[in-house]
Amino acid sequence: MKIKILEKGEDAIRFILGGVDAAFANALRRAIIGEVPTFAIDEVEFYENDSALFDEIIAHRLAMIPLTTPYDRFELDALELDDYTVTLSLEAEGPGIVYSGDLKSDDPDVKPVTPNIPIVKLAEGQKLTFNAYARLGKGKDHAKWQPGFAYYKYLTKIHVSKEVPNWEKIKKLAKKRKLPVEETEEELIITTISAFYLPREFEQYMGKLIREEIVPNTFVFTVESNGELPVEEMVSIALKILMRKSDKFINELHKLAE
Amino acid sequence: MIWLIIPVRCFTCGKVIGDKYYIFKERVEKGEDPEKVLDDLGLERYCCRRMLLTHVELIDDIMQYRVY
Repeated sequence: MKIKILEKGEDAIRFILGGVDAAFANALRRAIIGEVPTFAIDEVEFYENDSALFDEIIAHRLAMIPLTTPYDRFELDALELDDYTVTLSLEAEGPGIVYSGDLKSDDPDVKPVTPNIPIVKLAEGQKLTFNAYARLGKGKDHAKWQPGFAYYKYLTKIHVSKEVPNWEKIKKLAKKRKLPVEETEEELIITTISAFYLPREFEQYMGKLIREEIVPNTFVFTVESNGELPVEEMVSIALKILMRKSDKFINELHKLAE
Repeated sequence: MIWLIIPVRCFTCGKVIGDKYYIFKERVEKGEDPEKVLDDLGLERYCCRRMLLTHVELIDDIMQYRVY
């Protein structure tokens, strides 16, 4: 398996994953979305709620708020999750908007990623008091525990013959999308490190003068983080989980053989 | 889409958009082009963009009534 990083931002990373088949790329994608644990609010106890939203709606909104997950304190790649619980409490009186930043956490490492998510708006005299309990969980149980997004596409090379009228337009378009373009005597070769769509007018040449070649066993992988975990940590934890699961599977097979 | 208050996440992809609505509203009301504001806020996909573009906030009208 080879990884070549194309670009890395604060909460997103794009890399070329080479030397693996589609089954592995999909296993990695599913491990990132469904198996990497994060903190999310799981249970809410309401003491007072005069707001316009029902308890259940507020509880749901609270669950959707991403919480920072201290990856150095917990063994996130373990197959059994820690049942550590963090209490986030809130006491507010209107008028005004209650934001995610108003939640008081009893663990400074587990707190809302952004303080500006509105939870509810209170009118004069309305009160809201609750305790919320956050736990570790996995994306396969509920999307609120998903650490972010992961998706991939095949790496392809688009060969455009110079017999295509107006081929310069395609070249310009590819340059604008910051795709690497090679030029030979007869054709243009565009490497699609991000999605590239041809304009309608070129559709009639597809297949003959313009053809798309799939680079075998190579994928352009994108991982985005909601802010709970850094992106590179998401990928490495997912790979560790995959490794542990495969080890467990092999062990079970050995047991069966005995 | 008419909701009491801006949803925390995009319905389709799950990106957090709740914290961006009031910034979006303020900047558009000042006369900026919504397309540019959405790009600045980092909303790339059209599913996230429609969440802010089509939102109608009703909580100011509803919250004056008592809930029993």
